[in-house]
Amino acid sequence: MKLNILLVDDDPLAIRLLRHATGPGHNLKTAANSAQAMEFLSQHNFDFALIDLNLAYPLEGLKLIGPLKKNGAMVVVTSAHEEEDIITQCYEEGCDAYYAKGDLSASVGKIVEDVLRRRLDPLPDSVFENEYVTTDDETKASARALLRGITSGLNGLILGPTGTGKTELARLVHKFGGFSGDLVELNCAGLPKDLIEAELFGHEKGSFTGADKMRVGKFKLADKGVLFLDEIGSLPLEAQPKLLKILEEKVFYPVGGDVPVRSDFRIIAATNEDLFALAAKGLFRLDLLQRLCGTVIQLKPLSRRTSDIFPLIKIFNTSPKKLFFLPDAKDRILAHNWMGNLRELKNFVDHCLAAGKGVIDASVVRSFINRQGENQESHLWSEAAWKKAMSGGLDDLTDEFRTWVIRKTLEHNGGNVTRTMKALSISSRQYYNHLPRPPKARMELEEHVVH
Amino acid sequence: MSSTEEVLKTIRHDVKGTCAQLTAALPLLEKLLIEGDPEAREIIKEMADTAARLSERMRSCHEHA
Repeated sequence: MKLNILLVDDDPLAIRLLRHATGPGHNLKTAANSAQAMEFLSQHNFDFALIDLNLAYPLEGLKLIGPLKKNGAMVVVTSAHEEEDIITQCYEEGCDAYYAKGDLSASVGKIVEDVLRRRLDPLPDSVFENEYVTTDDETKASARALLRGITSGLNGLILGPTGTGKTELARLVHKFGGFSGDLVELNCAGLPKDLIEAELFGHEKGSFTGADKMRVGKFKLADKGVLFLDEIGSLPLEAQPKLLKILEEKVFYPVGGDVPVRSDFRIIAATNEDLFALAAKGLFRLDLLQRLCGTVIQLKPLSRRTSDIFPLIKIFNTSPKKLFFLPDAKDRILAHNWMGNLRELKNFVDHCLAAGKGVIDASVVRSFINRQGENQESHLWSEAAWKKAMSGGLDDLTDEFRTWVIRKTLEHNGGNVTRTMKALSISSRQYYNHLPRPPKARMELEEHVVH
Repeated sequence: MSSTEEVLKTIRHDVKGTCAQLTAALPLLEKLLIEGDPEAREIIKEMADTAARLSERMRSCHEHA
């Protein structure tokens, strides 16, 4: 992989040393002053730049840091200055690293490797230990695919059940995508129909009743950044052609305005609905869906990545009080369906903390699950369930229902799989079709299964 | 900052920067010389130029001191 590198130094010896240190095979541009460097910046995007601070005049290099960061480059400054205020100023301008003159050439090889690794794998594993917690390889791969797609100019679509962390993933992608603009979040379900255009495109003062001042729209706010459209499936059909048009042209007119506005944004849309089924029924525009499908990822429900449950519990517990789960509590937690996913798990952590005990036994888990169960049961034959069947098909809904019944029976039987299968007159194949378990936990359960 | 401090700061900065640069060039120069690479001559010339620039700046400081 080739990197675009900019070297800015007025000393030919320094340029030569840095050229050797960066190694062969990269696209190298060299500039002796800030004017030359700015000219290169107007023509190229750079992966990283090395700047000498003192060029034609002292601290001339300082003014290059901001434009280089906007250009998306990693910026390394080198200088013989050791004054704290100058070094602080460089970091305030946005430089990524500051090296004493002479120390840099020995470190450049490592910096290049670092930039290359970030380009190839912009989300190292440590990100999934602290920022977006998951041990699931498929989820990690999805996050990486989305970031790669978005940073290469595609739109992104995150699919997944409610509470699976779609918003958090969009935030992660924005954070690690190197965008100079903001992440602007908009929930399409909460938009009043008659205000959608004003919200998205902005409006001029007096353009409609109540528009008592000019307002910048979300598309403009997301300039050089990311616009996250949550619950995109709820975007009214009549607003969809306008969204499609701006996705194609990136130019729009604010409501009541006659001056076109340009915005360079990326879109990440998210939904828990089956957009393809909605499109097939004419409830979502297929051309818009195709436009959004630059990178499509599907997040798994928590019940299919149970190895994440305990690391997430640790993260969700922001109290200084540590929680310790007894084995019977752990079994119950792993057997639960977590239909509300991360959101429900977070509620569970709050429930455990409110229980006042640091040691959590099965009774605490049971009381939480019973409370959740009551909520779920009351929604079993609801409008939402009917809509789900309409969009995803009856089989999906009945599958979900079967899974729920099996889980409920398993809980009723204290986690005993044999009794569960007997009570429901189902085979082990039918049981495991509905309740996939992590390998270790499955082995433990299978000891009780009568084949 | 007094003019004496300014001069001292400039000298300190220039001396340290140039010496660091020249020292950093040594491993590459050594490698190229061993390999018989003609680029070694260019590096020696650039090292001499860098040292000469420092010499000029020091002379200028001397006049102003």
